[in-house]
Amino acid sequence: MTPQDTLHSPPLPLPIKDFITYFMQAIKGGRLYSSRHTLFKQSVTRLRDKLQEAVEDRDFFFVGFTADSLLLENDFFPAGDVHGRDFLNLFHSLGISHLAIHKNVTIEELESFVESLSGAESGQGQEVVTALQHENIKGINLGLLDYSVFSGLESAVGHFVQGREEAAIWRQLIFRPALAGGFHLRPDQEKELLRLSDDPENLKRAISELDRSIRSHAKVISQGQRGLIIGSFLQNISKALGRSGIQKRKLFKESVAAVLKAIRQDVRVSILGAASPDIIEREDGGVLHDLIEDMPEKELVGLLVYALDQGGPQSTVFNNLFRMALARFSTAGPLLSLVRDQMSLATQEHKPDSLNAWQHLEQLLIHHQESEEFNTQYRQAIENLATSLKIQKDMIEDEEMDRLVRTLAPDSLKLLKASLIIDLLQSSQRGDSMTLPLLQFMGESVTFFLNQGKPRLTGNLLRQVFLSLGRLPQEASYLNEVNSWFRAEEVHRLLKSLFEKCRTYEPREMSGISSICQLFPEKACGFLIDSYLELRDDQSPLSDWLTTTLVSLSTHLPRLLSSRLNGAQDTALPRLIDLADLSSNQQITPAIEKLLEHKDYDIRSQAVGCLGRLKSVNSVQPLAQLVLEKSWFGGRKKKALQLEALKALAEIPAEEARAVLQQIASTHSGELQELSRNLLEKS
Amino acid sequence: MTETPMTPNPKELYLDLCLNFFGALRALNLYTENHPEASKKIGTFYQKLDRHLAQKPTMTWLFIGREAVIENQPLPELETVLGKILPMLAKIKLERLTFLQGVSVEELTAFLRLLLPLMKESSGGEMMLSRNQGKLPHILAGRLPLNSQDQVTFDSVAGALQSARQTVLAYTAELKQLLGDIRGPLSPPKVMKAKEITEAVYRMVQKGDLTFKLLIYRRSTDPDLCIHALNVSALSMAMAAQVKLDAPVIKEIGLGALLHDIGLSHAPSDLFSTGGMTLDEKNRYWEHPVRGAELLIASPGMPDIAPIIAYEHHIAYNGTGFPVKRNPGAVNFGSMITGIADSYDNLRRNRQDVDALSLTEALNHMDRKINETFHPLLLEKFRSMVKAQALTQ
Repeated sequence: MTPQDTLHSPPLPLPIKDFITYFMQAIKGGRLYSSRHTLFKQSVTRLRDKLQEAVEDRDFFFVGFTADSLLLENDFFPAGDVHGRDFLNLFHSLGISHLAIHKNVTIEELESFVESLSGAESGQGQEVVTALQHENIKGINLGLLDYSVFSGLESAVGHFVQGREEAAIWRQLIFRPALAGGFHLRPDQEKELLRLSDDPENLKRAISELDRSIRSHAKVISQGQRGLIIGSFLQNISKALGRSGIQKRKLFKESVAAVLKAIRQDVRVSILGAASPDIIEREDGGVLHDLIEDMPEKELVGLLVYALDQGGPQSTVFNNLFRMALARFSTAGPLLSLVRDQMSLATQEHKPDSLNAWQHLEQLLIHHQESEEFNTQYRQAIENLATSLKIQKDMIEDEEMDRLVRTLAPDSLKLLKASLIIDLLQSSQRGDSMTLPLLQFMGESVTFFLNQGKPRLTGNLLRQVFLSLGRLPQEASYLNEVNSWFRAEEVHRLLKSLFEKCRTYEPREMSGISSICQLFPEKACGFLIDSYLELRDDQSPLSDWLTTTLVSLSTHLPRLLSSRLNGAQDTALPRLIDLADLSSNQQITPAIEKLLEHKDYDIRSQAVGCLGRLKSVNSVQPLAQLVLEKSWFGGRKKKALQLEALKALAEIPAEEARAVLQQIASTHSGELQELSRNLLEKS
Repeated sequence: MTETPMTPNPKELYLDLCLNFFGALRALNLYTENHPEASKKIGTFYQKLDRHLAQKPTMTWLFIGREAVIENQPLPELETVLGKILPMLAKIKLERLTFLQGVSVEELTAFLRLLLPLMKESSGGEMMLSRNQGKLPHILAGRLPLNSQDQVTFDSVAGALQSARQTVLAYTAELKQLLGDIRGPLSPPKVMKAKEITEAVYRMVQKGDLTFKLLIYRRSTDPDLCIHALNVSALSMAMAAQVKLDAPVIKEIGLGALLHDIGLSHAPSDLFSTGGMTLDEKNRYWEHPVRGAELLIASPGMPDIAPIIAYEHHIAYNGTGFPVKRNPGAVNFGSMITGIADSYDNLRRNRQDVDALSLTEALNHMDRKINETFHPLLLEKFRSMVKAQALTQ
């Protein structure tokens, strides 16, 4: 049955009709009285009684709001009487597409929900959802699809179910929020579902068809919303298959994995990130949870960093994936190691762009780890104090009062004020106009602590600033403000002090220093280059950290590195060329090209190789000159250098480079000609 | 020889003003706001009031039972003339009415429009007055901040009246001006004014004035937010003194406590709204610690602790509450003290559809949240302090 057929459909079942009537009465009560008023409380109590009757033996009461009908457990129903129409209009006006209430919802939760709905104005569906989160109401779930999107989705689903048997069950699987309540399938319905779930090709076809239909009917739908609908659809199928046994569920999981592997990464991330950990924590996590649990570790952190890079740390998709990943490993430690491995790989592969996202993820994990530890310790301290007070009251009392009084010391208050600024910067409730002033106040705080000779504290605060900036829009004024806090000498002094305190150079120890480098890249580069030149062990954790950090700052390296290359002593040149190589930044090529005339063959050879890897078309001419240069006095080293230059030219993806190779291949002889031909064949 | 106009004596002036006020109210009852007769009556009263306010910054009217007192001048004559009206005012707990310099005819009309339906239907009148106070920056209306319980004799109340008017009412009025129309950080003069008020309250705490005791330990159930702010400041400073903090620290905590709800001043509720809280009001309530901290952190000359208190006063000892804090263990001592004083004062004042609790009920209620919302040592100290003060009455 489609919504259009509702005219001929049976009326709403009586318990549902009653529930709706009492729901609207409670809403009216909420508009007339405060939530503490007896009449309001009575109306919500009656509503809860009616909810129990309406929910029957299910876990959830679910209702979806289509254009002129209500989608209940099994089908569409006309809105019916005046209360029904008011009910529908209320949710339409708010932009809420479905409502699911758990059978065990508490009276307080229901009161708060009704109060929020009563006080909401048109279009404030998102605010109602935020209110539920604020008040920690977990028994009520709201769907937020813009009404035009939802209408489009309704048409899309209508199109999708055309020609399918058991259209009603398909509608339920698509419209219902993930895992909200059970599905009661008849054997024939179950069979149809199994046909889909057992065969990856069938499933892939169905999902593509659904997605195509959604895109064509709901034109303004976002990618996140598409992911949410498809994710929810897959979760519901896994829930519906619950009774078919572990084997069938496993087959379905494999089919979903195969389908997700075949689709674009952005869509895959949206679908996997659609699974809310709140639902997963409560009950069966569904197929998406199973997939995350069984996913290869490397793939999982790849998903995380992609979601972070695309949506930022506050996006729902990233947060869902982040929490599920943490739930899988119990702690952040294993994830941190995985992230560190991926960072090393990105460094080796000269991928500075991806390094920034990895570093951001690393900092988030460290922050999470520290917060967890801090909160555990604090909870323990609360328990200890309560117990100790019972046993040895006086002494403990004095100690605790001393501790509390110390928090009022001027320096403690300065630190608390700095922490407050961080909290405000990270708060979604902050007024936008306050961002810049807050950063200015933060600048005063960190300068104060640095001048007080507290580098570690300064570093910790700067790390929080780095995480806060990740949540802010990337505006130049913010970055300029932060950059103005310290001069280059101060950044060097700070980094030097922090380095002196390092022992292991592990991620957690280096997190403050990493943040400073990211916040003041131009000013930190000089210090980092100097540290790199002084490295004694290339395999040490310090070397790994320095290399990774310098590569992540590659866009800021050229000017400084060029000037160092120009005035460097010969002994420093190999490492400087290494750095130029690692940076993969073509702006550095002029400084390297100058080294082609260096007196030392090894330096010349290293410079040639570096130019090839930098792949700048501007390097073709000096490299060609080296190859084409004829000298009566050319020895073995000269020849070797020319061969190196040919290989470098082959790495540059430009017609000009290819032309030089072709010229050598046709006009020269011997080793040079042979290598040119080989290289041309390979390209 | 030119004739000098006769200057009426103050008592005649006050009688005339009072009669004009109720005349305007009656006219508004009979006619629409724009009717010439109503405009004339409101205009006449306004002109007379304005003339008075040109000389003095405030004018305070008190209605105690069937007695009216204007600027400390008892007006027993009004008992006969306004015999039916005064009990109506008592029903809506309109015991004090202060007009401040700067009141406009529009604000006056709005106040009369607010008052009129309450005179007919008094239920919830006190709350209506309080809720709409934000829209009336120059007219302060509500209860006397005195609670005439049996333990306090009428004489002591009457004796404390003058002192009360000079202290709390004056500070309430000043605080109202300070917090009215907040659009951004407080200017240096406003910060200075807040410090002056705190200093005065601090002196009251130190002296242990009867007024202070009446306000704090047998406190008024007045829902006015400015009185709440004064109470929380006084209680916080009393407690800070109890744990032997230094005077400058005590005053800084007192200042933070005085301004702890400044984020609420940013968002007055709708005039004449009667129903439950709207979602926007709810949101603004949740946001008020953030908003308050933002305002105070950017106010020049504000001590570091003040924005911290504004931000943390709804964060519980165990880290729950709002806003969600990254590291709950870092909740400041000053914030904990203010949190306790704030909770106590909230329990002891009337709020919409919730009556104030008695001292014992309030303390018992707070006891149930020890180790969760409240620090065990601090709550114990607070309880002892309040009980000790109550016993000395």
